[in-house]
Amino acid sequence: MNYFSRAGGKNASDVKNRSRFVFRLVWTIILIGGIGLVVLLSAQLSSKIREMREVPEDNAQWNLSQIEVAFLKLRIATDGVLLKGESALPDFRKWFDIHYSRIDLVSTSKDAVNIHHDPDLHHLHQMLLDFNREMVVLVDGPDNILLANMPLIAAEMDKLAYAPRELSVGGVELKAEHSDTKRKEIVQILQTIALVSTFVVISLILAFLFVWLQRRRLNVQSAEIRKAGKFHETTLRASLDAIVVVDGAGKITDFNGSAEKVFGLAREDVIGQSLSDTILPERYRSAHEAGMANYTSADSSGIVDQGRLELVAVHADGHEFPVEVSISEAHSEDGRIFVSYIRDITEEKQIKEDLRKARDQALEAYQEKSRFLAVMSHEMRTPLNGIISSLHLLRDDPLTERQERFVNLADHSSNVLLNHINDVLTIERLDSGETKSAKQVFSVRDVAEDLLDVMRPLADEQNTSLVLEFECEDACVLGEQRQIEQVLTNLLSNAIKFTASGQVTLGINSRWMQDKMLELDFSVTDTGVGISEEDLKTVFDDFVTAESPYERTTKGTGLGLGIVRRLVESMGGELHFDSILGEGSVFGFTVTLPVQEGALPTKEEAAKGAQPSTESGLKILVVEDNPINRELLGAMLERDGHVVSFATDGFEGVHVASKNVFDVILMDISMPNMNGIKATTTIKSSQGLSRNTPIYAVTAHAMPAEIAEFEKAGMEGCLLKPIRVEKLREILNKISQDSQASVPPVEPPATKDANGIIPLLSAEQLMKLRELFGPDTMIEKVHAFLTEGDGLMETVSGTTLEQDRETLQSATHKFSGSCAIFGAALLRQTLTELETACKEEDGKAAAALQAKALEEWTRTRTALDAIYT
Amino acid sequence: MKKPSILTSAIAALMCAQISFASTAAAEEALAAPSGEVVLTIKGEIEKTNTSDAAAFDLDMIHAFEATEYQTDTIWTEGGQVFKGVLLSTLLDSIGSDGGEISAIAANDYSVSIPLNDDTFEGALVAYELNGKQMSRRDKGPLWIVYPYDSDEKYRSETVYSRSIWQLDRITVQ
Repeated sequence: MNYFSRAGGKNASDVKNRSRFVFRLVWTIILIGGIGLVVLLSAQLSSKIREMREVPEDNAQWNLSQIEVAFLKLRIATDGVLLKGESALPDFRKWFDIHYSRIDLVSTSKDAVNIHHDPDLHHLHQMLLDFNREMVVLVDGPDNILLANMPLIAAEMDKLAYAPRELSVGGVELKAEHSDTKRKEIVQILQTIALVSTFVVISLILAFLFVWLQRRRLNVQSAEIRKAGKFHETTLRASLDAIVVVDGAGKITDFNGSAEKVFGLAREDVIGQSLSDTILPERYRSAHEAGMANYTSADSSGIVDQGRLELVAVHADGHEFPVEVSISEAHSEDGRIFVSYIRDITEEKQIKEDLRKARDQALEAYQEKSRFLAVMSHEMRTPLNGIISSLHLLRDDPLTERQERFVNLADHSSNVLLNHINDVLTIERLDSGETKSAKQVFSVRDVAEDLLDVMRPLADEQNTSLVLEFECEDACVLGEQRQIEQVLTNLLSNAIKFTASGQVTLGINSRWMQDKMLELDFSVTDTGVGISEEDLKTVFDDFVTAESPYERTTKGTGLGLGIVRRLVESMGGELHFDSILGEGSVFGFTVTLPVQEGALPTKEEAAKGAQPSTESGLKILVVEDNPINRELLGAMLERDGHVVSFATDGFEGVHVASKNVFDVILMDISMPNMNGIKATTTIKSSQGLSRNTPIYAVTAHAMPAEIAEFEKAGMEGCLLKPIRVEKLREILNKISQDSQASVPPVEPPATKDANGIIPLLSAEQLMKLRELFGPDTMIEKVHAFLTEGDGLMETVSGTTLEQDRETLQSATHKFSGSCAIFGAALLRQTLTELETACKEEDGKAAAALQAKALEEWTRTRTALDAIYT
Repeated sequence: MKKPSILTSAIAALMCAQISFASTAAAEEALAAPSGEVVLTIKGEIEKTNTSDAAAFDLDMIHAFEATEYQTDTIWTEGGQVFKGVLLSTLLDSIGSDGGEISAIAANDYSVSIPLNDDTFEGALVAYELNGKQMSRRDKGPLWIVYPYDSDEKYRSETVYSRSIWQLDRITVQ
């Protein structure tokens, strides 16, 4: 099951094959040549051997020795004739003939050829031939002449006797020589045969070895392939994931054990079946088949080789279940195949769902806790408010020394308690994530100096000097001033708490970053008791407290540094700290803020806020259901010279406000009948005399969401209970300044463009708004405005001046304000004019303006709708 | 070859009579006595004789047998030769030889054994003419046992060469 193509190497193997072929051809030729040579040599050898057999060598030697024998016999026969006379002649003639034939034989015989190659032997033979030729005349002649010549013949023979002897001996040598040559020739042939045979045999052995090795390698390879195949098969079978292999036509070619389990199908049943008909839900089948048909490459499919995908599959029993699928493409000999790894994730999904539910429940529980804390804070701070305010008032009365001491003690204790509650609430607020306190432009130096001034009395108590080391760019930055102040307050008060007769230094350094950003580094260094290394690790955790030898009162909540940590983190800053036990500590943080150029209220101006207004008092309405709080707040205000009216609930508040003009209304939130928010909206939207009067919430409800709600209702701000006189004075001072500067604030006229033509929409205003909200919220707001506008327009256009002037005027006013915010400049101008017409009770002008407003609203609406959809 | 003396003739006659007597029924035709010079004398285990203990042949007697011709080369001669003669087997049959082997003896007393039952025996020819001419003693005659050397390899062996005896004048059948 080789799914993976064996790309490349084809050319290389071609070359290899070709060279192997050439090698084999050459080898074969050499082998055949070698065998041919052996055959040839063998033939040569056998012919030599035959020659040896057919032409016996010793025959020549024998013949030569027989010459000597015949010669000697003839000589003896000669002697016989000499002794016996004529009777011995036939014997002589016989031996002569034999001798003659012997000599003659050497002339004709084939084996005697070599004799004639030797000049000496040839000469000897020639001598004997001559002898025969001379004698033959006598031998064949008459007996008497032969007899007479016999002594002569004997003498002649004696002279010649050495010739047959030497011929015989020479024959032996010749034979030996000849045999040697022959033997050498044969040996040479044999050697050549042996050599060639050896070569051939070695070649054959090598060939055999080669074949054997080849075969062995082949065996090993096929064993490996079998093993790999088995391995693949086992992997397939053992895989926990279902593996389904599909060919290019979408037919299943493999289906492992896990797949059988996951889909409830048997392998034999699905092999060869179409994938879409077996495991895909019916509604996806046509899409799948279209996908397969148009499939060109993994990149274009969107499914193949795209990692894990979550899809839906169908089980044999028909139920659908979620699966995680990873499909990859491979190439086999049969073409393209797709290998799918499929995992049933029903359980995972279930677990995820359970986890999600658990998380939601936990979150809900957490929010429950938050709500509980908010309620608790309210419940605790309201009575505390009463205590603190009572104590402050009590101090204004003449007290005995003893009474004064108890009042101070009670005041101090209630302040500590208040701080604890505030800490807990701060932590709660920070953890809720709604920490977006407003950013302000402030001077770093002013903030630092103010803080030290506030802290100095505390330090004096400890006999500790408080030093500012200001090595910072003296600039104004935009940031969460309140938070920075709080962090520094916590750090400074901690440092002072643990430092007696020493020095606490607030050091501020800065560093320019890009884009007019300033990195500020605040550090509070003390020469106090220090913190052990062990304690340093947990110092920023919640509810960690350390014993201060100098603190006269009960321990803190241990939330101080926890708040610091949260605040610094919320500003994107970084904490740093170090301490040596017995020598002192350094706590600090860095925060990067943008530098703002421009004027700030001077310190002197700001300082005025803390003083009660010496000028004429304000007319103030206090709406508060709790009589104690109502009385206390009233007492505080009256002490500062203000004129105070009271209302006991929302209804009464609205009523009083409609009949009188107040400079400020202080509104409790939680009240029976009508709560503060409802009362505020009613006052604001009414035609009452105080409809433009700033309203401040006075509440223990401190949750940011609620504060946003107050603002939405039209409240100017919020005073947290228990009320601090300083804060109250600050607000009231601001109001009195405003009322002096401009009695009713005149709305700025609608901006006209360069040609004096007022545009339908003010692009500038819309841009500002968009910057403020961000694009998404902007759309939301615009749509809210459009809906609101539709309602108001209905009132404006549907009410004639004569019918209900007040309603028309009120709706027009409100609509005009909204138009100002959303940059509907043209419509706003018309509405302002309509409002004026209402005030002047000019019904004719109003009717014309009403129609104009309706036409302009349609255009404005279309334009805004087109831009913000 | 010497002429038989009177004494030997007498003994031969006596012996002949004895043998004639002993084998009257068996030998239909008695071996005629040679009229010319005796060229071959066969002794030993034979049934017919024409002397006291041997069968003596002159050339005419040998010529009288059915002639066989061999055309063959030999190692002793140059070029192809034509031999004419009587097969040794025919010759031996004519005298009723009853042996397994013969000893062929030449004029110079060279002798060689020729077994009668080996496969070259059938080729043995007692030649008396070479190339149409009677062979003289100087020319390895008058009788020369030859084989058809060219016809078969078996006739080209050392043994056969050694059996090719020339100047043949005696045979002993054993």
